[in-house]
Amino acid sequence: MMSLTETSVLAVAKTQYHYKIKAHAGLFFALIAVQLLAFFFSLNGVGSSGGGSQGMSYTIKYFTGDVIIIFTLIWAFSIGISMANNGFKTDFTFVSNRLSSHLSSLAFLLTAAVIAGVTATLCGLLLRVVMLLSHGGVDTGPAFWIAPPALLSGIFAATLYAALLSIIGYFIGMLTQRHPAFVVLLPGLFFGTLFVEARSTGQARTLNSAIEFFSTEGSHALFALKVVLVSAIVFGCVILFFNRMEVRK
Amino acid sequence: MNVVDCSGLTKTFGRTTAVKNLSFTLAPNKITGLIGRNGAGKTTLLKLIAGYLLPNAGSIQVFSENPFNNIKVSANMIFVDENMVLPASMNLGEILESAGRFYAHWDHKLAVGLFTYFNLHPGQYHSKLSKGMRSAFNVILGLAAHCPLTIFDEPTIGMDAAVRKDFYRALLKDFMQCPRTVILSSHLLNEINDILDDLLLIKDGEKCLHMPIDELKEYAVGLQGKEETIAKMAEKAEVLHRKKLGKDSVYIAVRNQFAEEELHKARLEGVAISPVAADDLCMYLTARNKGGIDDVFDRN
Repeated sequence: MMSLTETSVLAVAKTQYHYKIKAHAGLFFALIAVQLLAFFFSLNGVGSSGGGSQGMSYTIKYFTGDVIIIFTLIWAFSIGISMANNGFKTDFTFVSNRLSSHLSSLAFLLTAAVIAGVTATLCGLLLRVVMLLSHGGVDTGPAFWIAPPALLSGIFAATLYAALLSIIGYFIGMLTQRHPAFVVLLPGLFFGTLFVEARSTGQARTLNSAIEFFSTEGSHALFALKVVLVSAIVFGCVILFFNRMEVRK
Repeated sequence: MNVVDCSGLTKTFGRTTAVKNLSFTLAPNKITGLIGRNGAGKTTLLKLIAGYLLPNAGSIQVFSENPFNNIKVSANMIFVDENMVLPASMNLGEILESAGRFYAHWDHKLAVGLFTYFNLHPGQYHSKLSKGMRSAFNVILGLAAHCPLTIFDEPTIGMDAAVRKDFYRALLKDFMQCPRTVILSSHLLNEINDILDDLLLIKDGEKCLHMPIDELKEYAVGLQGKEETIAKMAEKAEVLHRKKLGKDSVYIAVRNQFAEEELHKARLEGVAISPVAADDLCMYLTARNKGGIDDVFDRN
């Protein structure tokens, strides 16, 4: 008989990772499109205020790259879902087990998160430059210039957020793979709590506190730790819950 | 060592039982035909072997290991069917290249050779291929992977007769160069008859027959003659199929348990004795009603 091939989960996951990068290259074009769209939305500014006295008037316009970040995070969430939907099916055409499939998906999502984090931050920079040029380039004020460490920490934070959201998306995608009812159930649950809370207390407490759990963290290290821990828990759940899931039914 | 070893294997989907208490073993380096009617449980059985599905009862061993979620079994097995999910964003050339990285024994020369022979172009996309071309491409993946266990689940869907013939020949030639265990499920037994070593026939999820194809040729015999002569012979044997041919002429297919002189005597009494083709035999064995489709029309 032909000799049996011995292989390891990690070796297979590595092959799958390269395969996934090739197969899902299109998602990165989507990222560029999303960021461009957000960029054009941002050109308008998010708000303005003004005033005047003694024959003089002024207007303050606020510009921010937040929209770019938010759009990028939505993209990250959606690629998590799409990895869960396609990855599993595609993987089992060739050599795979559930763990190697998850690990290669995770590696893909982390790669995507780094790219998303870097491009989103740079896109924000581009917005500043365009603003500077379109407003004559004078008196930019000290807040205009970003020191390299601040830039790096921006990239760092954006990357971590993107990674977190894509892993959550992956988990949700796997749930809907498990049972199609989750397609209706999960958005229902999410928006349901949002509305019920908003009506009774005037604000979406659960969502707010979830966001604040990350966003109010002052220390970089603690913030990173929080994101890594939550991601690890969610990803651990993926591995545990879906290890007995049948494929290609 | 057996490549596949099932015992008491059962798989249900909701209320339907697709595979029922199935036990069999497949020895290495043989081409086994998995034959059965539509809905007999062929695909479910193959997916259990591939480790895609979990059995409800019984056990299954592939290379002496449980195939479910097993990286070793997966690395030594390829499952070819019409639903192979391949990325829509990669063209055929890129897919071949990527597939090669997964399999240790991948034969790229063979893949490219077959690829060109079947008139496929590297720039084409899998989703844009015609049904027959897609099947041809899937089959190339299955052959070139050179896996110790190669599973083809109705691989010839949509292929025209010429391509089917080429595929069977390619399978046989490649098999001779590089012997391995092949499971081939198909409706078209008469086409694959010549390349099979063994035949596994299943009916309603249960094993009906599992034997070398050569023995199958001796398994049954067809008798045709006058009604009373045939009826007398039928008493002594297990009748698999009966068909009225004319006013008092009858054809029956029976299990061949006659002695040589009995058949000789029958011949003298005017009974025509003929072998039963393997695909006819399988049809008779898996028939749900003894009379067949004629019964539907003979209601008077």
